[in-house]
Amino acid sequence: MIWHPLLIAVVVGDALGLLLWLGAAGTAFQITVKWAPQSAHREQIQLERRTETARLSAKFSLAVFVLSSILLIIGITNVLPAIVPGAMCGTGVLQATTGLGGRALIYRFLAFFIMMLWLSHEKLDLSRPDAPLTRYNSRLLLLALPFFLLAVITTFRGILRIDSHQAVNCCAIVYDQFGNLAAARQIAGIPNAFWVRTFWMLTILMLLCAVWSLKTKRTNGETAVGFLAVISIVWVPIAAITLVRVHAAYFYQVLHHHCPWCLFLPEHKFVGVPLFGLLIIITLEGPLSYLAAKTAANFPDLLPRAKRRSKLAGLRLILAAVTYAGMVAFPAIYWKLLYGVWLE
Amino acid sequence: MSLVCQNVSLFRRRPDGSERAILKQVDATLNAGEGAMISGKTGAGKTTLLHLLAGLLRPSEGQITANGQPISHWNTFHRDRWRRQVGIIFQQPHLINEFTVLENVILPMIPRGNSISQLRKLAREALDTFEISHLANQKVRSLSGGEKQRVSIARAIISRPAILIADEPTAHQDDQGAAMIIDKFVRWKLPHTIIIVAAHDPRWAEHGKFADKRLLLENGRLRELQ
Repeated sequence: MIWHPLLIAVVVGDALGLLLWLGAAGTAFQITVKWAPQSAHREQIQLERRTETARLSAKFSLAVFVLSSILLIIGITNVLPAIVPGAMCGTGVLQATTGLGGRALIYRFLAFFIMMLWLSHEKLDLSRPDAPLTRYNSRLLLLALPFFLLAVITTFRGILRIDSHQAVNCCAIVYDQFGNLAAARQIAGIPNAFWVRTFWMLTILMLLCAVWSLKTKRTNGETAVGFLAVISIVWVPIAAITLVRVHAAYFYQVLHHHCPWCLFLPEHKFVGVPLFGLLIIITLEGPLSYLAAKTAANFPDLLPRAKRRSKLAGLRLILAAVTYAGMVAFPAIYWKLLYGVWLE
Repeated sequence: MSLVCQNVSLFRRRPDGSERAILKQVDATLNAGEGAMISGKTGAGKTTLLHLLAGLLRPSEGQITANGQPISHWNTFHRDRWRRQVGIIFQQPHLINEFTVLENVILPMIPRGNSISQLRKLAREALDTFEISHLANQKVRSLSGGEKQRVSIARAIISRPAILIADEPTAHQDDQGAAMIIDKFVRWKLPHTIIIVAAHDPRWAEHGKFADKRLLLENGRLRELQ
């Protein structure tokens, strides 16, 4: 364990966020068991009041969790590499956590994803005075709890594992992954060029679907947003793979340095922050646009608001995808114009 | 503005599990500019009816609408926001003893985002109305019952509510104090406000100018007196 102030802030933030979420989860459990909308009984009125407190508590918890996650990412990418011997970027820091760091980040993202779904449905719920989604939202809140718990525990265990006297290999392992150059030019036996073509085709398809979802005159537009959600779910991992395996080369200006974390370093102008940030936005907004349309279908009272949310998700997705595509295409095109060849 | 009770009933569970009707099929329409007086014996359900009208309780049957909106079916979150246009004077003052008079009066205005100096000015005006501005900086615990009641009225009117609901607002007042309060209530009967007072204090009935509607609550049922 390194008693770095940033890590202490992460641990304290996580603990505070988890406590607040646990408190809200207690009320959420009562809602799933006892919620009786329109009942005149005192228990229901009190439960409605507690729901308000739980809602505030969960929102505050989400804010604290996001803040501690940002601090953790900053720590992994730009602070801890200077402390962990041999580490030059986040790869080395995650090695120092003996695999727990990577798992913690996955749990964090899953918790964050469900929490954002909850938040989005909360906003929909509060748009109607009879709050028809309260019970559904309380289930989402409960669903996020195990991932939150795993994220906090795994992060803490990962931090405990960091040893400032134990050297790591860092990005050197990235090179060790391949026996020869041909192996570095393919992913799962399929050439990089195929992945890049798939990425661009899916990008165009996703943008077309997003435009379709915005233009459709159908009441819910479920088909359009359904396609959009599926394509965005397929698009994100392919975008991430091609970013690390192909597009990153134009930022590093080095062939086959398949490290995602170096993109967060100042020498690469922190380009990983917007790139991975945009990937997160697309991961969230694709499914959200579908779920909002689905909610509109199940709760007709929420139709106008849910439809607006669905369209907003589509719009955000278009903006994020266009920006992302521009950000990865521009350095490659610039390189090609400058040197007349692609980096491969 | 209109406040309408449609077939409102409220049941409460007894310890043995059976249900007792506190209010039975209450119908009433209160329009802007009206002053309504609800009378009835102790335990008739006047306070309960006022709490229903103020959105503090929800009816077991029927509905309460404000400007056509079914507020009694709303979730607490929305009812709490709607209640910002309702001033409530409870039977007990429900003041915070640790706070000064001025701080207690300012409290309901805090969520509205006015500046502190503006809030102080409004609170002073409200206290002036009830001739208690000299108590502004005193802790509430040092006040008499009558003074506490005036502070609670000042707290209810500071936001200039569209609906003012008062439960026995003159119960702890001497004749002079009661006359002053009734007089103020008559003056607040503006074209856009609804004032509802529950009282069995005969001084309200003797004052002919306040009540446009006289309602009697008996055995859980409400009827209008001519």
